[in-house]
Amino acid sequence: MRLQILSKRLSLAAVALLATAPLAQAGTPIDKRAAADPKGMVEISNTAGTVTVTGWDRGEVEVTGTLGEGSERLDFTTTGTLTRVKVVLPNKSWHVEDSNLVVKVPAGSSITVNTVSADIQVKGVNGSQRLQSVSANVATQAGAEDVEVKTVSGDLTVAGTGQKGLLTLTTVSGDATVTRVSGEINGNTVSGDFRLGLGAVDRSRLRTTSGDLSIAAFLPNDGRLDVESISGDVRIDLASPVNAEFDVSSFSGEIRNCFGPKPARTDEYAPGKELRFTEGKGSARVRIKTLSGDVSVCKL
Amino acid sequence: MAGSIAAFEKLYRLHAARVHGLCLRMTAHRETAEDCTQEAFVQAWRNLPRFEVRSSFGTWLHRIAVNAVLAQKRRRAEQLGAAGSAEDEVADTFADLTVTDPGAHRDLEAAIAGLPAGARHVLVLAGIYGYSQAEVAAMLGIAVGTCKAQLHRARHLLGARMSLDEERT
Amino acid sequence: MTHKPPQDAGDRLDDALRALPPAVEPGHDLWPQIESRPGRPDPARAGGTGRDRWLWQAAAAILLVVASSLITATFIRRDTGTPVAVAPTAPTAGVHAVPVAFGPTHVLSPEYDSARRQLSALLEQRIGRMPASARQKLEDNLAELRHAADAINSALAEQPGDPLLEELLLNTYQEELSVLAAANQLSVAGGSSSSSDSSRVQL
Repeated sequence: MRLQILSKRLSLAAVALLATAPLAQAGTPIDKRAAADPKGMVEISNTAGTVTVTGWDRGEVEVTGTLGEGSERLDFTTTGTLTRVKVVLPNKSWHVEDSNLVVKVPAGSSITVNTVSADIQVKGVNGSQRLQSVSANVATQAGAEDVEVKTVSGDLTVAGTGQKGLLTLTTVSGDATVTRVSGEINGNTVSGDFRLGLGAVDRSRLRTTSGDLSIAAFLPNDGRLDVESISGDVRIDLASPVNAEFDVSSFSGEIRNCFGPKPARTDEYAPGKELRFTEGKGSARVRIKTLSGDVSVCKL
Repeated sequence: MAGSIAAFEKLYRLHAARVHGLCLRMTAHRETAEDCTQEAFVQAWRNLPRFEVRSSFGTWLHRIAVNAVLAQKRRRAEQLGAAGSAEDEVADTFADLTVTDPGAHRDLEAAIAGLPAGARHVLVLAGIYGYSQAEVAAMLGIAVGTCKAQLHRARHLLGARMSLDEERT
Repeated sequence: MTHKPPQDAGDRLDDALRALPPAVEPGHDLWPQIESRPGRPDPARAGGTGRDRWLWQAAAAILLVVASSLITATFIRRDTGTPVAVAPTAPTAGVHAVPVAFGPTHVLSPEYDSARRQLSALLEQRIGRMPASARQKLEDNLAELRHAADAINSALAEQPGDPLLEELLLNTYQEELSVLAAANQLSVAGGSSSSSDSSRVQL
């Protein structure tokens, strides 16, 4: 009898301990892996928390981390060359803790990551990437394959690897910082500020409404840079040698340049300025149009 | 949902004639072209969430239409079996010979319809619809080299037929 | 008299091919058959997501394409004899109370406006899923785009037909559609609620 009471007290005590355990331990640890095609596709979906994706040299996908309390489950499925990792929430998700997914994928994989507010960080993935979130920050490396990053209000950070690829950035209000990316770079924002430190740019189309754009790049022969802004300021610094045709027009913004020629009024009786000149061989093309944003074009 | 259907009908109205033109010239058969056009729009409707807004909707539709044409060709080949493929081979072999047939007298559309399938597909996409060799090769699932060879053949055959027509008039 | 270099047969063929009309109307209207095809929209095949999500995405995609094609397709002249002041946009998010202006003398076609309103309405219903801060930023930025359109329209009132202004205005309307579509897409992509997929590894 005494033993029974003792064990009951112990188990009650154990229950009491669990009840007061800190919330950080409430999430369920994840530890799953499955074989995966070395150049397959991995789709990851998480609403809140974090998603960290790293490329490795194994032919499998590994998922570790924690599944937030209140989540319904983690789906981890493989269909052919597609692996899906998805945090599934209950239909009425009124109180769900963050889930933190740490995913390792074959380095040659192509990935798609969708989150609402879970920050996304990607490293060492050589296949194409499609990273989307509503308000999360996204950080990745861009190589030779297509990289597309899209958010409403999250900030984007993209580090290039020196290879030429295709990078597409879309934000509504998020800022973007890009370093060492070459090839084709397209960007679109309403009010985010974009700071792009680029290598050799074959083609670039950038559009902003009120965010500022600041671009440092090298334009090879046939390079094309098209920038449009409504009220955001545009600053372009080009690395030598500069061989480009410039066509800059602004309705009411200032146009400044370090190459010499002065902007001219498009019409004697109306606002509107344009600056058209050729520097060096004129083989590349720079076209900038703004409504009221100021423009500055200089050499690095 | 009803609003989406009405909106998709609008898309159909805007693009149907161009898609049908492509299917008609690629298949060289009226009924098949209508089937392919229908199939293209049904597939487009199913795959609309995957459409990347950056690219041209018309081009995307054309790609789907080309897939529909090729799928129909494969189905026909399966149905006809050995007989069907032999028929195509014969048409292919004799295409070059019919150029010198004095009975041949065609306008350009009819001449295109008379081309062997591979050459016709490439000519229609590149010559009429203006796609680049690389785009045509990707759409048809062939190598760029094959695409170039087919285009060359098509132009040679057509050119010879048109000269024949000119001699007559 | 202009002298053109003699055309060779290849050039003549190219010209003849290019002159062929790309559009050929089918012998009869194919729409009824397309509309009634069994298994037409198939949400279950759309990447394993739920029916609702697929329908929203499809609807948004259709509206976006229709609206985009209509931005440049038709401008309607305002049918007033007197100069029209550029109408300010309505302060509330989403729907405009007045036709969408394109300079002082034109408005964009009613079909564009209708597609745009529907896209806005679609987004209104989805926007509740977004975190509050993102929702606010989205609304602020859509307002920013409308202010930009207003500013350009005002400038066009003083400089009608200015090509720079017209291009900026077209692109601003296009940008608004893209933002609506992107926000719609992003709001459904990230969140996952219970679905009935089979063959899963459950935790």
